[in-house]
Amino acid sequence: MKYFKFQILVGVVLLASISASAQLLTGRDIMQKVDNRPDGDTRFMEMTMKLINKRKRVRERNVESYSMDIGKDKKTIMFFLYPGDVKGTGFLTWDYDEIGKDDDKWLYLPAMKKTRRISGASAKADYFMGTDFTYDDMGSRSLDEDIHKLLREETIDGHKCWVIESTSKDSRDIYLKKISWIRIDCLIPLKVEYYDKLGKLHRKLALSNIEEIDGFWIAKKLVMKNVQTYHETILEKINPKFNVPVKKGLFTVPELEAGEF
Amino acid sequence: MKKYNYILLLLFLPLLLNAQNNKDKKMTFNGFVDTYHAVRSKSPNDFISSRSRLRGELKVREGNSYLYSSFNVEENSILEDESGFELKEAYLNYTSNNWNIRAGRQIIIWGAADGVRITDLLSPMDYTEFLARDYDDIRMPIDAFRFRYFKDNMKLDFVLVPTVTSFVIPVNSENPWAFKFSNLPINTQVFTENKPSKKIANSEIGMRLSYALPGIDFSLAGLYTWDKMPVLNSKIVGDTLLLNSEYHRMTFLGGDVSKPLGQFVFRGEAAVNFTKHFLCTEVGDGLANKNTVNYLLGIDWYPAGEWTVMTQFSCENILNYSHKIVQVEYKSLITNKVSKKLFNSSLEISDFTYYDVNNNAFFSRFSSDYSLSDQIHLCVGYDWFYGDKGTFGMYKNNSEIWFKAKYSF
Repeated sequence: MKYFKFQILVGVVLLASISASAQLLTGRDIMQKVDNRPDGDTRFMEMTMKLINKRKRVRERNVESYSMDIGKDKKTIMFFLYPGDVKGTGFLTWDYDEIGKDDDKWLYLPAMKKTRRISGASAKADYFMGTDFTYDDMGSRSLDEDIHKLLREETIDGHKCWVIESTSKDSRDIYLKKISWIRIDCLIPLKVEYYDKLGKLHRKLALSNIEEIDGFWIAKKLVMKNVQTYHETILEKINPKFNVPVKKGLFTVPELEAGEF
Repeated sequence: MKKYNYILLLLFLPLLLNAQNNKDKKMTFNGFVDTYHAVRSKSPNDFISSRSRLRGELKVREGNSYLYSSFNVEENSILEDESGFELKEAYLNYTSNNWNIRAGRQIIIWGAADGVRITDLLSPMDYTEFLARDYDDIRMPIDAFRFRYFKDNMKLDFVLVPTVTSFVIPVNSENPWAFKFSNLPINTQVFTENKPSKKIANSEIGMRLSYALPGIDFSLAGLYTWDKMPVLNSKIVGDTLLLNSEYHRMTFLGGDVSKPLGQFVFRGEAAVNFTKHFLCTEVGDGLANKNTVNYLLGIDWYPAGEWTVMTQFSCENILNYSHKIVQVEYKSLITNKVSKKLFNSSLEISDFTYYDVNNNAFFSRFSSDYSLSDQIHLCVGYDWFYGDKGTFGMYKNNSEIWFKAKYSF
């Protein structure tokens, strides 16, 4: 009986300590963990994006991309596969983690046989090729571009989640704040709500088909719905690969001008 | 008949190649069908463009090599000579670790300018319908050999063009876009067939070194070339003014730079042209041979909300100027492009304007492009020519409303 009481006591102490450690985590700490979630040094994937308007008319965009981490920065090269009128269009980004340092971006237009240097600052707030994802959503956003606040813990579909409110520090962003429900076990958000400058709900992102591939967690399906225009985008990641061999010099303008991998 | 054999061959080439496909061979066949019709907005409101075409683009890749070919098959109701088959590009390409060769008929674009040629002097322009076509239709292919060495963020191109291709200038009076000499108070005859002969001594050779670095792109280029826009030399025989198009050797050294800064990208391009020829005011004075400095300053603005604004100022300055020359000492052009995408990029509204500063004349192309489906685009637009002088003034009666439908596959 004494032994049983001791076990209960140990259990209570352990639970209390776990709870206390969770309580000690700030919103920023949690988002730092999300930011640090392993996703390999390099990655390759194909993406299909279905653009659906409020009359349910569907358009489609297919791309394939490689990306590579260089310290805290990231380089990405992407080519459009579909539709035919944009096939071969290439997009090269050097995405910098340092706040205030604009990304480097180039666009290759095969019909014009020309690479154009584009602004790395303003495109962040623009939508990516007519989808409901911004360039910023598609890239990697620096942790300290937002102020993060842990609101509460919630359980969604049996998964314990941290609920984090992230308020943008940059007036150029199209949203005032976003609220993310982040799965505690794999550090992937299950859903994100974006609020506009007036504080009204603007877009809702739902992530599903969350799997562990080659030891790395990934959400293979993302549905972004603009609740103000009733337009939505279904983005599916096909055949994602991590730590893939990448040839030296892939993330350069000469490779971009090849028009394909 | 021979042309139709080519068409059949190219249409069935993908099937033939596919039949002998192996696991390393990857073949793609893309392209589009478009139909374009333009009606003059002034009396007599006649059609001044009416054409439909098939564009095919074939690419066959095996390992580090590929071939690429593109062609047009066109039916043109206004310019019947334009109907038929045109081989647009046909080249082979091989890439090794850090070098690449491309040989054959190809379009080579240099520089950072849009719609203005400063260092971009390799591929000439087809002015059959002046600028009232898509810019990629106006650029002409050249038969060239290109060797490229690249390492990290640097690329170095050597280009050899054995046979010269010059501008296409319409002079046939049945073409609504023909260059007009009707304001001259004398009978005029134009001779255009005086092109550089096809011999090795007439080849072009050039080099371009370019860097794309964090925060800046720049390049340096040089080309021993021809002025592919003919200069009209004049003489009077009897009661007729004979205008003879002449082509002359020219060399340029130049470069370009692009620098992003916040929401803006600043662009600059400059070249010194050596031994460029100009028409003189007095008939029989021949041509003046001068050096020029050509430069362009541009600013692109990418404000949020899918707006793009691009403005350029360019100038050709004739050095050691002589008042005998017809062209002014400083010839300036301003271009401005504004575009806005709407409804999740399914509609794009844009305008591209060229403003001729010296002649107070402009050409403005407004267009509205709606994506009906992933394959079909419907476009309507208006080409507005304004002014009394200069090239744009020459077309002041050619302002037109146009419609285009395009299916891409």
